[in-house]
Amino acid sequence: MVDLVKDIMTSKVITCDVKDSVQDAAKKMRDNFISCLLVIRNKSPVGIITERDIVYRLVSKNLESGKVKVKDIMSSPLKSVAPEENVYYASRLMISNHIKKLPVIKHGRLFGIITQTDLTNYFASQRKDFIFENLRKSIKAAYPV
Amino acid sequence: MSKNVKTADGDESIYSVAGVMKKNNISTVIITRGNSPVGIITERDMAQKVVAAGLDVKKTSAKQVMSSPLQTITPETNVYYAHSLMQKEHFKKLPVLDGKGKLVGIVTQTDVSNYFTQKRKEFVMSALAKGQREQYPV
Repeated sequence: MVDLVKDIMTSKVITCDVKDSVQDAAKKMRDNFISCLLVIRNKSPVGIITERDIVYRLVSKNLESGKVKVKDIMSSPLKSVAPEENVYYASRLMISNHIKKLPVIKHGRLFGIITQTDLTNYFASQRKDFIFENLRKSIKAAYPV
Repeated sequence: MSKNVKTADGDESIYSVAGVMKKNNISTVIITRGNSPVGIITERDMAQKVVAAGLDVKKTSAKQVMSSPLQTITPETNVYYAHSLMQKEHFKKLPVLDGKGKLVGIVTQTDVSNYFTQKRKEFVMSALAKGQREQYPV
């Protein structure tokens, strides 16, 4: 059985508004111990802002974090997956786009987020299940008579 | 370990360190004093300690922001030990110094995780029957 994105995603997503300052976004990341925020415009997810975006697009250009808006440095348009998509598809999408986080969206509504760490943990547990299953088979096959 | 590791002097500005990260497409820069590695700055340090705090990136120096002292390993360090060090200290990157204290590389949590995945796969493949091998998950 192949698991779906909704089975392993994180439902709690922290968001910010396109008009928030980058400084406020950075504070929100710091206070919530996270490395990205989903960016919302009129209740719809439109982009994502990560620690990397802040360093590459703001700090390295000497822009003022209190004045620059999130919409000016966020990554957009958003790559996303539907909750019913399978986890292998999500994994391929991350690899081919060189991204580590995918928002889970359906009909413009935000359901959660799935990260590279979620996928790594999922595959590790799949491997373990596979190994244990096949170990049993090997042991059965080795039964004499 | 990866040999693609970049350094900046402790007196350089955060603006300049961010330039090094962007130019090399990396998330971590090792901070030096003289030629000795003394600290580390990550994207997270920049976002949390500089941008969230509203500091001026040209007037803030690397040494004000870096995490220090540096936890290091050598090229001969056992991978399992490096892994336990990361777990215990909650580090995701460990700079690698040679016997003379010279920076020669960096080991990340991803490197360690990929190594274990590969080792596990080799072990399982050697123990499995041929028909079972094709079913091994990612």
